[in-house]
Amino acid sequence: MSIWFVRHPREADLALFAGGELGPVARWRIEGHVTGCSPCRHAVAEFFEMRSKVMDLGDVPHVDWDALAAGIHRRVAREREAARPVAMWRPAWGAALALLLLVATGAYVAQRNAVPGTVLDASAGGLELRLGEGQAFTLMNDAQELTQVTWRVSADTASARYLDGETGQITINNVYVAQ
Amino acid sequence: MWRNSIAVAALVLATPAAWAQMAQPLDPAQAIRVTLGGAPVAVVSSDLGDSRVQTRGGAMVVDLHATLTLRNSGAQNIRGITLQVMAQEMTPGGKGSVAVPSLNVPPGRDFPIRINLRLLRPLPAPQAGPLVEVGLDGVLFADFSFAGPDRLNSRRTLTAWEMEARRDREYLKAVLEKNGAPGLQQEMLASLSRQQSRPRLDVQVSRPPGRSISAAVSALTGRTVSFASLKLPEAPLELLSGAAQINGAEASTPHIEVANRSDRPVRYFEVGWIVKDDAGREYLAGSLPSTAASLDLRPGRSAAATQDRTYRFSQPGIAGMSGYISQVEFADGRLWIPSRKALQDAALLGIVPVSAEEQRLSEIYRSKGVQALVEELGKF
Repeated sequence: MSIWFVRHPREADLALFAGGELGPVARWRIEGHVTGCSPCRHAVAEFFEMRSKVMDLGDVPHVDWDALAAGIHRRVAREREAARPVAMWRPAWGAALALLLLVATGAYVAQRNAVPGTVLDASAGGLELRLGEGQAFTLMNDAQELTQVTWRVSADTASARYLDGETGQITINNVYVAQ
Repeated sequence: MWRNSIAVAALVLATPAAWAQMAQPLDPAQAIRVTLGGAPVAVVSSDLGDSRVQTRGGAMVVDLHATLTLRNSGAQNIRGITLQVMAQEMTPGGKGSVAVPSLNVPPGRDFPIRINLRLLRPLPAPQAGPLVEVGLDGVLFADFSFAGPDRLNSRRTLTAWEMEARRDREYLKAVLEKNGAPGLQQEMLASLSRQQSRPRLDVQVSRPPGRSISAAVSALTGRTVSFASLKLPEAPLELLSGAAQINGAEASTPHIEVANRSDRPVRYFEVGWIVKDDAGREYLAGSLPSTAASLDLRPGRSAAATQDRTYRFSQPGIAGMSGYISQVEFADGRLWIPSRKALQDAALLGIVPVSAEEQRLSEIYRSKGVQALVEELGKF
């Protein structure tokens, strides 16, 4: 092992490496080190796992709040224009209110009892299938360089291809979601 | 007295917990089982290296780094192999596979396959059976014959990879014949440059439980973006239309429609999906396969495919999308893949990843030089 790779990298650098955030020189140095250092390789794997969990926390659908607010304003303005004075209470409104409550309650119960979502994740580090919060199945890419990895997804499959530094073979990992 | 008793009790209670937190040695017989029964490949040995099983809080983490040495016990050279990897308890939700294309293993010769996986599952650990089961899904031989259960459509994928390999070897041989070793060297440098500079995109696919709510929000705030069709003149199918609902870095429910322009019925197709960001960079986001379980797309007819999925990209803004026919399987089992010229003419060479074989050959050039590459091409 070259002297460049002998010294253990700082933990912060290992974390940045796991997240793909390092510059090319630092990445090359840490790649060289973790190839021959089992504890650091495990640390990188743990950071990678942690990163996946943190990404889970961001599993909220992206909402363009400005566009949403503009849409609501437009709708309120339209409804104001169309509004006319209410003359009297109608029995049909009571039925509509009851139906609305029923639908809202049903939606709430359904949301509480929903089966956790399945997420397929493809990145340079590996492919991960997550079932809810407690289960994850990861096939890791053991490439020596980021540029030796390609990955892609389709509806129910994520694939990653990499040059295996140990065998010199091309290896293709796939993770499938059951239909 | 009481303090001492409490301390001893705490120690007694804490010791097993602390012990459980430490890494435990992996018992290969319990953690992994490899069964290739009746296949034209045999397991010669398995090495679990620094694999380990750990418990962390209420979860168990299995880090498996296995190297299997297999032997070709068939009569033909092996060109590719796919092993199915199934984790106990994960089977209802999914499974994995490890495939090695671009092989050239003669009968009787050994070859390695490495499996690196991590399994996170809640405790308690299953009482019976291995945590991970590895089995054969398929082997492709040099004459395109195939063996294996093919539960993961390995026949099609291994055949497509082998066709790409032959296409690219033929191309490189033609370059060598026309321009000699310097020409081949130029070609490899260009290939390595493409591999280095090709933009990459992390992708997450989800089928969220509350997708009706997400779809409603997406419909309110997103916009529909149509696919631009990249026409490959020789493609048996034509991409008629396609669209997806775009919301920031998310694309939902992509929809495509294709028409069969060939004279043969088609049972499977894939459309390569390219997204363009706000800066004009193009990325291969993935592929959109035909979704019908038993597609029978007759000549002259059209078919649509819709995926009820949300794709989240690591690139924040999606400005446009395009698609091209990337693979077709006819009803008789024959496959079509784009020619190298078609990819070049459609300016796809810099966007689509190089084939597995081109990656392997370029690595030979990079590590051993042009003469080693010439010798390698001479083996086929």
